[in-house]
Amino acid sequence: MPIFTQPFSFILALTLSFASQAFAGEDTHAGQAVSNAGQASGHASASAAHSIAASGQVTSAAVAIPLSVGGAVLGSAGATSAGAARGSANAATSTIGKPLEITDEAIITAPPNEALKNKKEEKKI
Amino acid sequence: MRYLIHTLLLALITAVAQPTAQAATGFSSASSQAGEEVHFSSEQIIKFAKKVEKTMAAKGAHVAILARMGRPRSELPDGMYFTHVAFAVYSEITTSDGRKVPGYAIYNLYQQNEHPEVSDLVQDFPVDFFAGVAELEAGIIIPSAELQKRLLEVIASPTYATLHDPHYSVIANPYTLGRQNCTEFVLDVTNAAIYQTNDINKIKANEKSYFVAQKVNVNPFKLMLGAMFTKEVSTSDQNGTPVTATFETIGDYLKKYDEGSEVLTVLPEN
Repeated sequence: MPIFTQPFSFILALTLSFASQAFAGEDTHAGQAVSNAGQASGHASASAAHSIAASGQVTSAAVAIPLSVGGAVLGSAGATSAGAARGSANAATSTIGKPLEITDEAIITAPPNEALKNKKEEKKI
Repeated sequence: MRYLIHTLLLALITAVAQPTAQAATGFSSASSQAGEEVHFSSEQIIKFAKKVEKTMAAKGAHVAILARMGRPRSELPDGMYFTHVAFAVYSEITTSDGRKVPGYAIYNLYQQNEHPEVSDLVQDFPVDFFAGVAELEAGIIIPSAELQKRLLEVIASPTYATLHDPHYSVIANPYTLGRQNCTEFVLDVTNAAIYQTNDINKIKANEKSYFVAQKVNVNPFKLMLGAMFTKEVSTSDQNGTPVTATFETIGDYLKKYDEGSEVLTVLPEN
């Protein structure tokens, strides 16, 4: 019966959905990943991220550089350029285990058009 | 009679379809642009993400392992609780208007939207990280000061990207090579820091010796179907009962071997 062909496919699809949802992984992100050496330029195009971005309560950012324990700004496989960050002396000289200063602003990944406005600082020798 | 059979069949399909369709949306909710469900208001997400950041900052954590619940607890197999794990790194953040502010950046291994069997390394921020969660609950592992220092060195070095295997499986076996998920990547980076090596074979050997993975308690039939038809499910790196790394097993590992490490849970109200 042709009618059984379609439901069978449907049931199979549903079973597979069950199969896939049975696993714990959910390595997904709220946007399209653009990984250029791990740079934070995945844009917030998913609906949840979109609605948060549209709420006007967030500040967008495209560059984040790890701050080392000793105070230096580190280069990072997950960030853009070590030369891009300067300052934040208080934060940079903090030591592990002591409370750290953080901004009260809610930061969200910048969309590509905003990220493109950020120019890398030239390395000064 | 035929009508009755068809009616019963449709009723059965509908009954099965209800929770399945809902849950399937949840499965890809944080990445699927069209199907993503928003479970919380922007205010709730922002407030919660900032609370998580403040918790890490109050502990003086330069590096922490952060976990979220991308799917409702009821849908997860036994022994699994959090669905995605990444590094939170204390950073100098440059905003789009050029200001530099201190806060946490999140270093993720994410599946690609179009190719869920492939992953990328992506940096985002706590609000992005929690944007599509099913439940407002975060797991945080704060490693010892020594391990944090070593983790920072690895994350800031080419080793971080070298340890990434883009061949993704949601149940990747942490003891073997060939497939990797977010938890295995976090574990590999952590062990690269502990053993101060970028030699993946040495890392795997140590994981086999000291890390206790989580058995994947899933019906073998579902697993077989999943492996056959779902791109992000692969058993090619498994031998026997599938095992995978989880936030909980990484937490147990560090509590056992990294003296001074701490495991925390953050809820909206605590």
